[in-house]
Formats: sequence, C-alpha cells, structure tokens
Amino acid sequence: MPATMTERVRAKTAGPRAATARPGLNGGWWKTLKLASGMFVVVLALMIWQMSIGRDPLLGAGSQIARTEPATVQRKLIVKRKVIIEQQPAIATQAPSAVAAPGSAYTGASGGSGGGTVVTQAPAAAPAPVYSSPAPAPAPAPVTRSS
Amino acid sequence: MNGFDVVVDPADHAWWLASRASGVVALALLTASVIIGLSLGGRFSQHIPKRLRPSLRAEPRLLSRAHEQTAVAALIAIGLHGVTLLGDGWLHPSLTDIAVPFTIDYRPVFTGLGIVGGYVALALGLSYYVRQRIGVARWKRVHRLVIAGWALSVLHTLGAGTDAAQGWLFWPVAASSGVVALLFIARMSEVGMRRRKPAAVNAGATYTGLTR
Repeated sequence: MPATMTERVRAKTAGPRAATARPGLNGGWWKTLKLASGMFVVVLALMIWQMSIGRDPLLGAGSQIARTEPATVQRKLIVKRKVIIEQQPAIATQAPSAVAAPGSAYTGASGGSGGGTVVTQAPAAAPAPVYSSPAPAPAPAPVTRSS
Repeated sequence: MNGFDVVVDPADHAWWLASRASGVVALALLTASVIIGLSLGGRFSQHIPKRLRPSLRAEPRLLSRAHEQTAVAALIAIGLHGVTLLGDGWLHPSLTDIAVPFTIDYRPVFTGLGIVGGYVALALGLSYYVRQRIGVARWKRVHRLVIAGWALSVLHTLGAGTDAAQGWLFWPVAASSGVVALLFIARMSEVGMRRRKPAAVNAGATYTGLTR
C-alpha cells in the first residue's frame, strides 16, 4: 500500500511496465498449452470410455466376436438302427390228432402171422415257435432249363 | 457370463489411443489457427460485436498471438500424433512409415495425405519466424498455402481416422470446415477486389492518356 504521494506515482508508473513484462512463456502460451492438454485429456477419456464399453469403432465389434462362444459345426448323422420289441402272448398250438400226425408211423404188413395192424402214435408235437419278425420271403423258384 | 462381455483393456492400446487423441487435438488446434488467421487478414474485425471490441482494442495483438500459439500447439500435437503411433503394438509402424508419405500399409493414400499435410503445416507455419529473411511480402504469399495443409489434414482425418464416422468427431469437423470454407471464399473475393482496383486505375490512366 503506497503511503506517500511519490510512492503512489511510482506504483502507477510501474504497474503497466510490470504487466507487459514477459518472463519466458507469457500467460497466453500457458493458456493455450493448458487448453490443448485439457482437450487431449478429454478426448482420450472419451476414447477410453468408448473402448471400455465395447463401442470402439475398430475394436468394439471385434472384441465381442472374439468373446462369443466358439461356433458349433452341424454334423448330420443318419442312424437307422431300430429295434422293436413287441410283447405278444405265446399262442399254444395243439398238436394235430393222430389221424394226420406227421410223426405217425404206419406199418402195414400184409403178411406175417396173425397179421394185425399196429398203429403207433407219435408223441404230441411241440408247439410251433412264435416269430415276431415277419416270415422270410419265399425262395425264388428254381430256374428250369429245357434242354 | 454371456458372449458379449467386453474384454478389451484400454491399457493394452494406450499408445494407439494417445495417438488418436493427439490427432484430434492437432486438427482442432490447426482449424482454430486457420480460422483466426483468415479472420486476421480480412476486414472481419469490423464485424466483431461491439461488446468484444474494447478487449481487442486493449490487446491489439490478441488475435495474432492466439493464431501463433494455436499454430505452434497444433504442430506439437501433430508431432505427438506421429511419435505415439510408433509405440502401437498392432500397427508396428517404423520411422519411415510415419515420416515418408505413402509408405505405410494402413490406408496408405489417406495416411500419406496426412503426412504431407503435416509437413506443409510445419514448413509454412514455422516460416513465420524467418519472414524477415525471406521477405514479408513473399512470406505472406507462401503462408496462404497453409490452408492446403489444413485441407489435407481434414482429408486424412476423414479417410484414415478411426473415429471419422463417430458423430462427436464428424460433425465438428464438418461444421468447422464449412466455417473455414466461407472465410476462405470471403478472403479470396476480397483479394480479388483489391487486385481489380489497381487494374481499373491503370486502365483509366491509359484511357486519359489516349485522349490527350
């Protein structure tokens, strides 16, 4: 605080000179450098944020694709193995009567002493097996050649 | 964990991000410098609002200082843009790739245009400091070509810039390019008018001479 008149005058005259003094980089340069640095930080932060949320223009989509599960390859396999099991009650087949029994033996002896007829009855035939599968196709007829 | 979780770590791409950010800053500063420079040369100060004029009167060289400072800051940012790219692990550019135009594999035309634009801005920008040696009138003529360096930088940004399609970059670049284009047209028309005036005076003198 200038006390005397002389000091006041000195302060007035020294003021503008002090303001125009340029020690190295003046205020304008610092302001510009600060502005540029601030802009750099803001833009860098924006880009880091973009990248961290996966919206980087170049890496965003690529990273997501890399992160997805590996693609599955479809393979078509045709399996034609089919087993059908049907439970069917077994049909008891009765053996034919003795008249036409295939196993009956007829021994007819016209000669001999006493000459009686002996009919031997074969034991009852076993029940025919039940096949679940269709019967095999009949064999083709034999080829005959006429000579 | 679903299939779209982000796994990109920005720290892995620090050099690349720094290069991109410094490129954006370089273009912004260069554009600001060009706009101020075009405003300085013409009579645009007459159109400055009255409330801003006292501050300009108090600091008559305010705009020219701002022009110089933004230009130098832009050149520093351009240098940073190239140097930080050297550290990028994906692109792996060599010193030749970033210093010699059209030699890099990545978008060589637009990257090359950017390198040429950088050199133009560097040479014509720094020519300010040797203007006394080369002659002020000659320097002024040459310095006007710095707008070509700016145009190449814009082409480089839009053609090779990773963020060119992003709205936060594209629209400011488009808007500022429009401003530069308008100022440039206005400036050129002003220069053309100045050239026509002496020609008209000469023509008048010749005519007067003939009638005598």
